[in-house]
Amino acid sequence: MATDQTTYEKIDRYLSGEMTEAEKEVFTAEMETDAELKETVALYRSLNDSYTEMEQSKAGEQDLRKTMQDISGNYFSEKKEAKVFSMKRTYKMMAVAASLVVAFLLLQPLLFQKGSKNLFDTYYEQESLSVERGETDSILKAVMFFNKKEYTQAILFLEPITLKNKEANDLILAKGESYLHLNRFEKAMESFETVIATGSVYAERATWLKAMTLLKQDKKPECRNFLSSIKENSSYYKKAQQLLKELNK
Amino acid sequence: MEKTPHIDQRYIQALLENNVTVVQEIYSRYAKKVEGMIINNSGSSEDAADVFQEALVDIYKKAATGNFVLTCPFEALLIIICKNKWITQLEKNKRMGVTFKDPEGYSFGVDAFKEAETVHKYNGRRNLLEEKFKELGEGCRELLQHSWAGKGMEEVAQLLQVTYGYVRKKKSECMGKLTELIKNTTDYKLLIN
Repeated sequence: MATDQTTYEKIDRYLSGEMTEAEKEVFTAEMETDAELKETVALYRSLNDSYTEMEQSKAGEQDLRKTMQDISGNYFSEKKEAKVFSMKRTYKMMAVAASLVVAFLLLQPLLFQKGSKNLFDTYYEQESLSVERGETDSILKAVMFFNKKEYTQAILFLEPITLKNKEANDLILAKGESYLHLNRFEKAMESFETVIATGSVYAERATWLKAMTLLKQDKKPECRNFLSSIKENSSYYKKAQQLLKELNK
Repeated sequence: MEKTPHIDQRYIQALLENNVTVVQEIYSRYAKKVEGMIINNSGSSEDAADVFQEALVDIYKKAATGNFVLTCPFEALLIIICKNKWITQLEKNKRMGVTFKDPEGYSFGVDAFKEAETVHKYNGRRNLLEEKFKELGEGCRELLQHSWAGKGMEEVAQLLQVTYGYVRKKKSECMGKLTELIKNTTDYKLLIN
């Protein structure tokens, strides 16, 4: 038999501990004599627990999926089209890192004693964002403005998007970079810190961008400290070491 | 009796923490083996990549409940789950008369099959719960998701721009609907923890 709504309200109040002692006593007694009620209470509680567990594991699942999509192509010979997005970005990151290393080696003699401003211009490079098919209109617009370097416009779209999609690390980075361009350093730092904390594939770039933010503010000692914490396994390690040398000159 | 975790429990931990380095290690150790097994059973590398990823997600979901202690090698668990997933897929595609060619040199202990079964059962139950949840109206789904995400009822009321009293009443109503939906499924008692 179906349980009615009034009973469900009681069950909910009972389980969330909102009943008075007297109410609780009556309700417990009711359960003792009504096996169906007792069972419904157990089911209600168990469902609430299970769904809570499921809901709270969703963010982690999305993070994990993102990680796997980024690395899967390196271990399986065929790639799926839908995975091109993240792979492209990873390859691009690697390509950019590699070409910058080469460029620095070639330009090394020209880089003596540069001010923070010059160093920032030399070391900072924006990456274009690409989009997956089927993205929402506002994501498309955000990406378009960001790629066109219209940062204020980009932020207008990125703020609400990243508020909703807390896992969109690439977009959170783009938001941070946009703020960095507008010299709103606190906001920029906030975005990069968020991404660093996820430990995802984007954390490496976020770490590098944090160093760039310190550099642009001419906070040399902090920047040096931070750069020396970039580990050897990071794809930005070489750049970091190079920049450290510059800053120590 | 408290189970002692297998040394490979660290892989489970890595999935939970999205530890990129260790997830990469899982791929570098086992991807080729799974790929070989799938290709050997009329699949492609792309199929293998999907099966591999979904198997890891299944393990993650079970692990996220906080009570998954690995007592067999991770490799055995992963291969069995991948194999079962692929067989299900083949059967779905109605390629009848499928005889699965097991990878050579593999023999798994009873523990590994038991644990694969635990993961499989948990995910079956979870999928059913998700199906039932989808039968609710949008208003209920939104409210319940906020509440399960750990938000207090007052916060939920603010988010949905309604009163606290309304949210409380609505929550029990939505949970009531959901409970009834589940009661009407066969074997719903299996769904109780």
